[in-house]
Amino acid sequence: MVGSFTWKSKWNMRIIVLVVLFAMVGFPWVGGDYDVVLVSRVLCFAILALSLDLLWGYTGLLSFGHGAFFGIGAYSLGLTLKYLHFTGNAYVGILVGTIGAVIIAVILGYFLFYGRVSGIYFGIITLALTTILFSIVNHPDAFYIAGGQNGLYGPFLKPRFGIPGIWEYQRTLTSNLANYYTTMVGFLAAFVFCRYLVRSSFGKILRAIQNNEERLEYLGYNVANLKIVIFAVACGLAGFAGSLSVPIQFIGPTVFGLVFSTSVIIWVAVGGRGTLLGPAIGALVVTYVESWLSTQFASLWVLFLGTFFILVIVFQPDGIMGLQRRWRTRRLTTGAVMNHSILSTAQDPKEIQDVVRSLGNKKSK
Amino acid sequence: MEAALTQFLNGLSFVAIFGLIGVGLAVLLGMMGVINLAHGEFVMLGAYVVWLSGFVFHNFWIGLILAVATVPLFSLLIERTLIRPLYKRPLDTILATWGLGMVLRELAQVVFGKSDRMVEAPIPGFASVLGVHYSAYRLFVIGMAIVVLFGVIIFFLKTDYGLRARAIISNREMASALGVNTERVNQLMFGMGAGLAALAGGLISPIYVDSPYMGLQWVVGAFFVVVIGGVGSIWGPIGGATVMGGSQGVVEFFMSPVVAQIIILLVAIAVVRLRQKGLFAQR
Repeated sequence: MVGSFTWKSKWNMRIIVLVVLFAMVGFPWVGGDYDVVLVSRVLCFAILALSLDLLWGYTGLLSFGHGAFFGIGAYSLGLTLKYLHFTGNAYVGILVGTIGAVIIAVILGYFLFYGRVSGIYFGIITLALTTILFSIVNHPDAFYIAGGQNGLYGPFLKPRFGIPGIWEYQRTLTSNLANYYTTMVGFLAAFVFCRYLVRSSFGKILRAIQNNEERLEYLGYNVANLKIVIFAVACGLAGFAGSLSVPIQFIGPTVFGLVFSTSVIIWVAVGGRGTLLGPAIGALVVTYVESWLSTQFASLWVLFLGTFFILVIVFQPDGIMGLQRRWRTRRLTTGAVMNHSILSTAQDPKEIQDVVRSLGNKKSK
Repeated sequence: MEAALTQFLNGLSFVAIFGLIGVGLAVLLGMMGVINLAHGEFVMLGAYVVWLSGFVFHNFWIGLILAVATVPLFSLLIERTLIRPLYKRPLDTILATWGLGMVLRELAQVVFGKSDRMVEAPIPGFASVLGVHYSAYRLFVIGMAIVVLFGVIIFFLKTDYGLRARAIISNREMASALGVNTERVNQLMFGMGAGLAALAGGLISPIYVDSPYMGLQWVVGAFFVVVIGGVGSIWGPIGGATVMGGSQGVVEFFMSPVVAQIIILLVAIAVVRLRQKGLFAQR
């Protein structure tokens, strides 16, 4: 295979990463205003998709209401801006959004995971959470605080950059350019963070949770605590994404709606769950397609989205990254695949090996 | 006193409806381990069939019968095309049925229009119950649900088919080894669950506003019924429906519906935390 192009060779990867970074930085000069705003939104959604991937793709906890934490982040920042007026209030708002999401996640997680709430019940409860938040935010009594259907934007100070007291950036954050770079930096930071997390031993433990929880408990890990931690991290990241999106888009009760939370699941599923890059790509592709479809078929696009989603689940559950993986392994012979799997089980110490093998892998495809 | 009785009857009607919807869901979960997130849409379809046939036949009862007849047939189609291929992949079944629910909601929007519809109650007026004026139709709904659920219980406990169904719920492989046609029973149970949901939908169509999204409000509650009541026996969902319906009735009386929702969520979380199999599970 000397001389043939391999995706994973170090230099090729570095060049690709540099090209992508360059494209991201230079994008605003190439694209029009509308496109820049769209990509900013996509970047926020990509962070959200990354967070769900951590929760679902790696740990196996499917949340049907993940959009709720995005909404918590967004509303926290919005309310902070509305009621606290000082320079740098944007930073406080983002912090409030992220930490608020984390706190709620920890409380919820404490009750759920210590009670050994499995798969579907976890999904239903997160679904109920987002539905309830929707009714709260939409409620007529909350109108003066949350703005109801009209959304959060009102006559309040727009967010400002800068370090309070030392340097204050006079342009407000409503500049599309500033928004774009903020979300770009946010996304890159989130991606690097997730990648680091997933490649660490903590990441391996997460995969072990999805693979066979019981076995992990027998090995002495406190699975409930671990789940709480990853739930908090994922929801905090979602809240962060929500705060970042405040200057870019309309923040209304729909962010707590069912369609939005389902969309996040679709991004991750279409992109390829369990591969960080996949969900980010999924968010990009699906959002672009959505925005194109909604201009073509004003009311039917959700129908297409749902049908497409079903098709993906049934026929290509590994998503886009799955296609890529299939392409890459197409030349492996049966022998090579078999050797690989035998090797991977030979790494456990002899005493545990038999027990581990007998417990088997419970992760369902 | 009067208000309390009225509220009690309200709660009872919730119990009745949650019972119908929840039993179908629980049977599916307990028997096939299949989580059907499109169950609420069966309810919605039942309501819309009744609404539609109101235009054609001008008769509520014919509509109701039609609903109970057609929706299960439709569900059999779904079982064959969607559930069957995903039988080995329960997590993907959840996603696929969620997508299906989405598609059905949008189709309903396209076909029936976005605006809310109303169906005329077939039994107008009030009846007097223990000195309280209560909607005669609601009383009928409560009665009908009780009768139907009673029939379901008898089916499960006394008939041969019910015995086979319980065998499958108990131990699928053993039942199959003993000669029970698990596929056929699966289909029947799926259809029955859908039929119950459609019946519920048809019954509630005059009471509540009918919109393509009505299923969503009931599906979360239905799952809570299953969570609280437990799967594996017929009493589980009935018990769960009692708790759900009861608390909804009681709390709504004292506080706003939003607070009621929150409290019910907390109750569900508490039950799941403390007794994971559900309050009335038998295993």
